[in-house]
Amino acid sequence: MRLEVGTFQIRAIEFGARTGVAGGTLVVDKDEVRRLVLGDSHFADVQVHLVRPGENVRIINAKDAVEPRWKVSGPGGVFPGFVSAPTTVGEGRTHRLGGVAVLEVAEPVPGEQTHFREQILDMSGPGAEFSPFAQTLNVALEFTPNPSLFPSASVGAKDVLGGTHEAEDYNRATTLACLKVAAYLARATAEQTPDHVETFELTPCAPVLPRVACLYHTQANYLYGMKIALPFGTLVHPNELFDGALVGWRQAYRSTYWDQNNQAMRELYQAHGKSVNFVGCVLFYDLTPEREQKERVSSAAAKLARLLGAQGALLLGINGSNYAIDTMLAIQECEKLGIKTTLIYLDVGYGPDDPGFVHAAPEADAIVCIGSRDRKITLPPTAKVIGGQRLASSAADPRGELTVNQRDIHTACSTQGFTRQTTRFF
Amino acid sequence: MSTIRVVHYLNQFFSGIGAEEHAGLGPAKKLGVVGPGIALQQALGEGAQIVATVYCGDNYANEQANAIDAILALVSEERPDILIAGPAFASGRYGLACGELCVRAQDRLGIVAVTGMHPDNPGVDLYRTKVHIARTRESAAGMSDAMKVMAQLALKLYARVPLGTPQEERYIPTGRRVHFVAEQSAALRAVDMLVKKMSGQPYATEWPVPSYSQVEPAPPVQDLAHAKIALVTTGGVVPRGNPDRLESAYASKWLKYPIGELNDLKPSDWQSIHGGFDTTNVNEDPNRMAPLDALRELEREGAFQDLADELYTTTGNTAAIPTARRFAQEMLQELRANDVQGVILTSA
Repeated sequence: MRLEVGTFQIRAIEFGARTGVAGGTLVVDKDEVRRLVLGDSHFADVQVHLVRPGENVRIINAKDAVEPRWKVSGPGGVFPGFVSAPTTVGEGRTHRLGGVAVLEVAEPVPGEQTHFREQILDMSGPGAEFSPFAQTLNVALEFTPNPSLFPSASVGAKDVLGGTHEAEDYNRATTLACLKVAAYLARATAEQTPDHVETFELTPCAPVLPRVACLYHTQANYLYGMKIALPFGTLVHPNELFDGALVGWRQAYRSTYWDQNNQAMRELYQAHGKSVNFVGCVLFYDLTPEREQKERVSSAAAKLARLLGAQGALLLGINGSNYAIDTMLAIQECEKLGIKTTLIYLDVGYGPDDPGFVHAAPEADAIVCIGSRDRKITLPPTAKVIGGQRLASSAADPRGELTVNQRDIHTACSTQGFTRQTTRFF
Repeated sequence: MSTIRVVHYLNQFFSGIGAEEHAGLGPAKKLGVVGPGIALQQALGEGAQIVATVYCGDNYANEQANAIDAILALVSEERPDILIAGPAFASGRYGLACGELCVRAQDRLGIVAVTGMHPDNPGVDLYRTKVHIARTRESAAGMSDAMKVMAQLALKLYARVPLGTPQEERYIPTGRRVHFVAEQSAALRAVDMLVKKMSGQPYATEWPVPSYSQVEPAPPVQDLAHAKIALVTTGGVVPRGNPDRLESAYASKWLKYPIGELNDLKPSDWQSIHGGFDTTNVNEDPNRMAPLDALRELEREGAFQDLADELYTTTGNTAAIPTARRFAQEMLQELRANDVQGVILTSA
């Protein structure tokens, strides 16, 4: 599978009569974007904001972020299962608008699970150092739901992960709308020549290089448009992620954008043929409230790595919930099979008494730490707020000074490999 | 430069007074080094001098009111710059005394205080976030090594030289976190670490995993028919309205409520305030978290003698291990005092 990704590096963004890219400027036809979104009856309205790095703007109730991409040749299309057919992607040529993100901004709806729902994005000041989307030119879509969908304001969520069926359905609609807009924006470049092209292909390697798989304990919501349930894991080519096969936001922990640009995959590609033989990616995740489910999913993930002939595995792990056990069990299973592991992991410690692990296996002896979930960060007052009047988990004035946890800052605890935030333990 | 003044603290055994039969010995002091203090003085070098050795029996230090303050007074008289206590190795009472003495020396005298323990010493959980504890072996076979580590830690702290990582400096992690921005992304660091690990080159984890002590399952109750059983839950079951404000996560306390007159837990009177699961079903029938109804039935059938008159409850959600361990120890004391032989423990 050979994928060419052509980049149009965008340095400015503005509204205009016709969507297009010229001379590093992305022009956005606001009316067309609104038409695209409001064709879906889930929405009563959508506001389209352009937000730039350094602006004195705070976005609250932020959710997913998506990079504009469009498939110009080859099988399938971007965001399979949403925008195009759910057939295998990762080949041919894809265009991307470098430096641009489409942001999903939506207040929680009745029946929605709001645990760790707070996601604040400051485009300047100290908060900007923690979110990657303070450095991108953003097309923020602020959604207003169709009021007929949520007649009662006091629906208690039953499913602690998804909320009510209505809330989940609505959240899928906001996700889909962002993907549609992202595809639409990049489609404008279909006939143009990109600034530069990168090629991604898992070419044959000298047998002396160690075979390495990426084991991705993913919290994405959708794979090829299907809600993720992978009790036996599954095998994917990294290029499938680059074409948007894996979609969804999960609290501060992940965004679609950073799977389209997954840094673990990219670094393994960089090392491919030099120090490693990158052989593919194992996705695993399931709801695992029971012990047997944990054993099943972790054992299956290690088995897939073994079938790939992996001698090493880079794990992107989950911490801070019962799924943390599954990550650690997968490490144990791999090491038992002789597959050496490293782990990219978030500290969830609450104070010095707490070592920061829900569960820790002694085999997890090579960990890269991506910072601390409960680190306190003070955000100064802001001139402008986008995303509603209320914060998701506090009665404080969203325009004022806020002291928040790192996990309250948009995508600031992602395990997708890009962050340089880290913590050492003394 | 004037010589750094050091006071060394020992228990009755290491000060040469005697073993367990002298554990009730009160605080005392000798000038200069005593016993293992010779090795400590060697490790400290010429810049620092052990001016006195204070010692006390382990039982006295742990059981007598104001014992630690009395020891501290003897330390204070010497106007030391540094207190070095122990090492206590795996000895529990000795470790607790060393830990508490070091905390008070830091807080009240404003001096550097260092001790040494094996990671399984109960003093570690209580004091590792408050004082620097050198990591030692289990027994005195590790004495000279422990002295070197404690001396080095104390001298560095005194000179205000920033300490390296616990692995480099061989102390027990204090839980202090330092956040910063690395030069390379997490992904690049992870690939580099993996390449090193696969090829057998040295690599260093950025975050050592803690070692949890294993809990041995208790042996079965010998004579269940004549045993008293208690109901204990970490499922956050409390009287409706949560009168004592038990936390839904990060609980700071455990509570007990009378159930001696009850046959079951009525949803009108009881609820779960646990924040880590959907409590809808439990709040419809609190017995499904704390199964008082089933236990009463078994009690009537004679499966066991009788049920303790109180429900012991806390919230297990996101509890730190030392806190959970303390809750267990405190509950255990009461359960034993009430002649309870077995516990039904339920959790969310």
